[in-house]
Amino acid sequence: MSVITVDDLHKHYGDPSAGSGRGVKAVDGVSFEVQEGETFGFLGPNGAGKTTTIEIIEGYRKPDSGSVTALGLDPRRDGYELKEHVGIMLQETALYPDLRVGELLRLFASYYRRPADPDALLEMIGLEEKKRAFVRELSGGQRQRLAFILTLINDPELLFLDEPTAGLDPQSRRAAWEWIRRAREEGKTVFLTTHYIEEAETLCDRVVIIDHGRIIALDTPKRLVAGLEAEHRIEFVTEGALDSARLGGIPGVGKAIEAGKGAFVLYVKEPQPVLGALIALAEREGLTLRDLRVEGATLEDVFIRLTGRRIRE
Amino acid sequence: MKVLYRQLEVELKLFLRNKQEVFFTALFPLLMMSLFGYLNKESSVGDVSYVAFLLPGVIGMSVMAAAFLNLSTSLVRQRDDGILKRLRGTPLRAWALLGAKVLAAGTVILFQVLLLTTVGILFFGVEIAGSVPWFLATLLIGTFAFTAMGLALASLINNADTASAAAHAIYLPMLFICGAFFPLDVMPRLLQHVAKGLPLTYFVDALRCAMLVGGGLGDYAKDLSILLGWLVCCFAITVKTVRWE
Repeated sequence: MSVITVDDLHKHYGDPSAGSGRGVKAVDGVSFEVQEGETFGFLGPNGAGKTTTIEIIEGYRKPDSGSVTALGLDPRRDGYELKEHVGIMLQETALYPDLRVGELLRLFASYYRRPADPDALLEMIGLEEKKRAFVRELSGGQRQRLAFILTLINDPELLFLDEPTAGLDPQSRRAAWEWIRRAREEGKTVFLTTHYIEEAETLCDRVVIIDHGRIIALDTPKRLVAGLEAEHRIEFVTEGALDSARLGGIPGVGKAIEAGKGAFVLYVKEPQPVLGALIALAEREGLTLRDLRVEGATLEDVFIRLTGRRIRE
Repeated sequence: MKVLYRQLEVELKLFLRNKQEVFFTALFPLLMMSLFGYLNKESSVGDVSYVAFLLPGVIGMSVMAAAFLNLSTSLVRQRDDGILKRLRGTPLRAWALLGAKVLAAGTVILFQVLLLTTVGILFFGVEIAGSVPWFLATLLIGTFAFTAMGLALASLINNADTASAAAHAIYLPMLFICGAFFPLDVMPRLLQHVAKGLPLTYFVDALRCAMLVGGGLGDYAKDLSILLGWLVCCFAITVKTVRWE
């Protein structure tokens, strides 16, 4: 059963009377469905249209055209009913700074017909000691954790998480992934946006890769990477004159891309013969290869392959 | 209803935890009344003592501080901080949020009325000879008019610092121009004309009539209809321009 259905969504910002050349097309014809119980991610660089899309589904923004339903409801028309059943984490955490943690949880619990137990949620994120602390006294990471459990205060069927781990240290990020996984295990559907490759790969059942307001790929992370037909990536930097066409000519190289000045990426099935040929080429031409690395391909490579750019430049 | 109650409780807590707001709303009017009342305790305005004249003015000041100043600055601050946007992600109805804010202002105002009137009667010998129903009606309409002004200001200005500065720039001069502390006719002619365009003038006038004279509909018709006019206009501005983010 599909929990979210989005069909041919368009949204642009700026002056609509200024003609099609002006303003920014934030979302440009996006369609997809999210199935019950899956964790579905939007992966893309900043400004790709992730937040605009998620906020249209949450009911914050009105699309220029296209249709959206979430849990069978129209987010604009049935907004209050929808909010009874979803948990929303916005990109920027905003909580009453002058309330105590316990007061804030009780307040949010009072907004819903069937609230969850605030104490159990606090315990889950290890903040039970902070119940009497003011929100303003919490660290940034603690505040983010608090914002996360506020999304669970109504035991929602559907979670919207907009960049849920942005700005967290690696340890806190791993902990957040654990809670998101637990929500999925409880049968909740999760819709998240991220620009962290690893986050999309570890958490998401299916991933949309979005760029300039368009979906450029949609599949499971595994299949997206397998679609590269190149399990490895060879990276290096060189100052000499070299172009990607020549590198692409090396036998065994699936694709060669210049990603930034003098920085090259080669996609290969078998690294060993290509490395030999590459080093031979460098020695012939008198080039120095710096930062030479061989890695397994990731969703980042899918993005690079499709756009010629990195997700985070 | 439970939601409204819980939200009201939170709004009052937030008010009491904001020392600046508590000082300017709850203590400043009492200080003004005590100071001006003490310095002029022998004077009179018309046939009432100066303190009796001052008391309704200071009540008007409290109403404006709670309904206009605090409401507009706290709304804009919460919108600036993204709190209003987060609340929109819950089933909390807009009317419940706004209702709680207005009720919180009303609670502070009622407390102020009791405090100031008690101090006026006990320490300054003010004699109340007015009409309780007219006083309550005036208080209610005035509170709503200044609430609407606060909402309009909050809708027109999006930055918290600018909104706070603008609200104070409206509030402070009105206190001195509109006859809250001194009779209008001791003011320069030009300021008297300005005062005639401002709502606090009519609010304080009606409060004074209700506390000291009583009277009937004819004594309040002009003041209250001007306040209602402000209410309607400011509410219309709010509806046209209201924003959550």
